[in-house]
Amino acid sequence: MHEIVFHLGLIFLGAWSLMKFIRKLGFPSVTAYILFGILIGPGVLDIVNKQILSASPLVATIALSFIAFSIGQNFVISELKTYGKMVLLISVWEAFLAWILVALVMHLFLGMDFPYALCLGAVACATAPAATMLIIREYRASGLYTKTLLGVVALDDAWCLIIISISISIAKALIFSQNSHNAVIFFHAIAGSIGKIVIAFVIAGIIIYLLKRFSIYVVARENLLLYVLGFLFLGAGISEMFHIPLLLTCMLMGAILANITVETKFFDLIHEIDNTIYLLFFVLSGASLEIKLLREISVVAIVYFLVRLIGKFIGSFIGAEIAKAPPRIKKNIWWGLAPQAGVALGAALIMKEQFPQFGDKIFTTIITTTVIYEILGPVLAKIGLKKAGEI
Amino acid sequence: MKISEIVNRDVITVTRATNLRELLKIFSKFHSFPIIPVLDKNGNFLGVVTLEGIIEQFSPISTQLGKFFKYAMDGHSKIRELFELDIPTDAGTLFLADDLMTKKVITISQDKDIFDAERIMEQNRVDVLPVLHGKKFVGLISKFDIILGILRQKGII
Repeated sequence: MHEIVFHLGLIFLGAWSLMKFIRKLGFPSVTAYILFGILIGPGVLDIVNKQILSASPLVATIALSFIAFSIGQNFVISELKTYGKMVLLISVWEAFLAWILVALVMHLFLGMDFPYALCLGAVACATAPAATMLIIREYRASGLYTKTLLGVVALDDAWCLIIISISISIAKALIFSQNSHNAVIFFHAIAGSIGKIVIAFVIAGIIIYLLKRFSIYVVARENLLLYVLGFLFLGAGISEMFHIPLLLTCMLMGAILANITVETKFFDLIHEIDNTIYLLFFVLSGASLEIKLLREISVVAIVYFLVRLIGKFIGSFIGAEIAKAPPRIKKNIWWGLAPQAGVALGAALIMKEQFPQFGDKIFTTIITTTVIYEILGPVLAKIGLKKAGEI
Repeated sequence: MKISEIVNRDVITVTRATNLRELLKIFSKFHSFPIIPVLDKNGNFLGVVTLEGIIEQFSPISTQLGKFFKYAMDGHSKIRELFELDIPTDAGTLFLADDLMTKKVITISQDKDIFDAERIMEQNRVDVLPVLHGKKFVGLISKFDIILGILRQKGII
């Protein structure tokens, strides 16, 4: 046991030191965490304790429930209105187009099985704010472009979670019922996904009702953390029991909670501890990279990398066009949508677990491209902000 | 003990049109910056101006999004950022209470018990709560008011 805690200590201090260094170079911390994970993982130095590595699904589940819960916090109906039509339309279109374009290209041109292509496409919708935010802060960018970009990045992860849930159920239906007609399977899968969203909503509603109802019995803030973690994990666990993606349930829990109260204490408490979990999540993801798969997925990774960007560009362009956004936004918003991190990695991990046929290939593709996107992210965000004239 | 018994009714309030310079002038005499209630002409409560709200005006990323993106913020502190910012000198008259105030405020009804007020303050890490009667602003209740109330009840003052 002492070895595990020793390694945990090494992970925290090592990842932190590398992060300090990487941040000096102008890249987001996520890059450092993943790179550190790859470095200590079995593929390179092989110094990480196997028992810690085997805990990575647990860490990922906890990290994902935190991420999804926080994404839900952004869905306050009264605030959605202030984001405006432009943010909504752009976020929906760029998410969906990236999904569909990646899935189609993978299926039609690379001959990937449809379920595999569909799942990889679903991961493509996720974006991550870290790299973009670094540049916005560094250059004190402000203006309509900056505001729209941040809104889009905040909202599209929610569409992404829905798309991932739908894709997983369609993929499962296609794999497990090979005999019947495709159209029938498709219909069932979509009806099933809608059903799942409804069930997730009911579970989330009940959990949040109980959380709110009994919160008057919690007096000290210290106990409140136990209390909210208890309910969050309960919700995530129950949804897994019913085969509902926990991403969906946790997001809905966050959204319902944020809508029924102005108190942000539950979210604030999670934010107080989530940094540690995220660090561990990214390091362990990096450490789970299977270097030997890299050669096999290299073409897929390159195509994924490029097609996802094209999807983001076309999607945001169409969304902006419909919303009648100014040309400088229409043409440049996609630069800030390149990075991917937590949601994409988390979704890939889920797929690795659920689809042994192709899940590890998706995971390897995502982890490789995440590192590249995160390294390029700040550069791309800077170009976008410059072109839009806000730095 | 009801909140209405101990609420501090002697509170400086402002309107939406009060500008940043006036705000800072009023409160520069205080030991620390309190929360400032913003009321409409009928005395209805609209929101509060806090130190955070003022800092946020100069920050490129709003607090709400900032909270959500916290894991991506890489440990930036808002006040530290303020050191590095170029703030135009006319900002004092340009920013009004209406821009600075936050409408998402935890409030409490004057009919509630002071025990509830204490719990809300403790859990949300706030020291002061605006007290309302319906939509009307009644006053502020702070941790100090609660302690005063308890001590008064015990006959110490």
